[in-house]
Amino acid sequence: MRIVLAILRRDWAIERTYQMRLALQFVDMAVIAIAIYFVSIMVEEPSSLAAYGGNYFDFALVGLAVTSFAGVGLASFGESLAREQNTGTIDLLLASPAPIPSLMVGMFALPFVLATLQIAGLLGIGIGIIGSGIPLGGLLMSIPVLLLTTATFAAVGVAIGGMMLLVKRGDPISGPFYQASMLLSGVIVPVDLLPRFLEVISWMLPATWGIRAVRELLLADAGWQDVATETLVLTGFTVVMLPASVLVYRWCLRAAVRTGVLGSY
Amino acid sequence: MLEIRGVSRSYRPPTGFMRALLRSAVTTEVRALDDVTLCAEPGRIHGLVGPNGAGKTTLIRIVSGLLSPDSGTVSLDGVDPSSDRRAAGRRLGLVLADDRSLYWRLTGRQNLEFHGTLHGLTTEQARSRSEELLEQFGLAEVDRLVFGYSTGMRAKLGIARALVHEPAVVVLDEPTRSLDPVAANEVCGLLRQLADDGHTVVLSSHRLEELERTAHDVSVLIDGHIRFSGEMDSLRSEGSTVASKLESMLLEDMRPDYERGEGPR
Repeated sequence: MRIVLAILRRDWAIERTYQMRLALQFVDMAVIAIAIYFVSIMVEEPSSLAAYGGNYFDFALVGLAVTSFAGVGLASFGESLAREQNTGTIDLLLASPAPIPSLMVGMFALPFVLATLQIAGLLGIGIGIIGSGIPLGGLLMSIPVLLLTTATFAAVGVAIGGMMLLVKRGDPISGPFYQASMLLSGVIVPVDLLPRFLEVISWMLPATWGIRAVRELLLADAGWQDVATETLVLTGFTVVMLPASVLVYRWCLRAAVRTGVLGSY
Repeated sequence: MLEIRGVSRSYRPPTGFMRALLRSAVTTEVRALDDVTLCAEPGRIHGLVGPNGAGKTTLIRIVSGLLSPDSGTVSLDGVDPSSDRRAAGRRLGLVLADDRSLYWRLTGRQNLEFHGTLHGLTTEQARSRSEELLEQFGLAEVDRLVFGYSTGMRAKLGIARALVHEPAVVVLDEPTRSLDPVAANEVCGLLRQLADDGHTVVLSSHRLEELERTAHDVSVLIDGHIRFSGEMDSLRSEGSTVASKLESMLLEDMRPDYERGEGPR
């Protein structure tokens, strides 16, 4: 835990020296929310959203919040590793006695804290003030679902991080995975409006289950028992994907040490 | 103590699946180290000298566990870094040739505290040890980001960082490479102090006069082979300095390559 906090402190200290970027991260999210708001004015009470209160703004904003949060898990580890490689600091990290799982969790820490703040702002201002309000109970119950969804994205991110140790640039997975999740997981369009074959694919994506559960909890007054299936499916994804990704990462790290490409960038 | 026994390492172009993943710097097999054996003892500075491409950095990367040897063993106070990365990391202080290996957007103090925590110190221990080192290295009054440091200050900070966890063995890869004579002299004084304190110090350098003044023992590495390893004093003879002896040793071994028009690898 001490190492995770040390990496969090280090990353926060570095991030604060890029004030503009820090500010723009929050502006980005606000701009997207505003765009969705204007789209929602055109799309009034569509029947396909009746189960979620019929409000497109709330519907799309929850989808966006879940994928943005989970997306941090996908990208942040690979980005942190690439930064360490570019700055030449990765050698010293890996030559230190710090356990690799602690280094991994540490590299996720600041992006998650920032994403949590962004999402809290987005949902709080978006749905809480402009939209139709957020039930506090639903929000609390959403946390484990969000974490499970993020864990599945992080699993993909860890495997990508391992690959980046070898191939340095040209991550072939995160872009398609994130775009597929955005398009097929019901972020902006309900899954049941997709053609049948795409709908089948969408149920194979963890984000579909996560978004559906969070929407049920926040927009349809659902309780635990109503999202039990989604939670179980997400747990299954996590149990399989997380250990598999750590194995991929360790294999890549060993290959990088064996081939001598660890320090190159 | 650092013992290296029969270490060999070749760089080979990747084959099979790895060939599809990696763009390697080598197209044919390069024998970087061939049966290298040397021993660096506590309380002494062991110089490592050789032309560019002789294998010094490869050897240092193997000692730090960042690269695996094809054969042979390394013992860092009884621990082999290729089999126990974490235990080796606690025993080794590493100064890489590249001053990029510091976090330039942190202060010197933040750099030291971060690395202290990575090496198992508590926050409080890391803070007081950092303070002590900054004082010892004359950097205590400098409270600014590392990118504002002079090259000499960064070199000193790099060494301080390697000492933050009080390692038994300190390995430095050309720490004075870009320093002016005054700063280089200061760094050599610090290294002598380290040896006096009982550390095992391995100093890789191209500066032969500096090695003559600083090191107790020396290993000459040429083309991946150890050509000489022993006490500096054994190279002393009337009418010539140790530096000139080392220089003639290097030039003699490199001449055939130059005559073939190849230069050092």
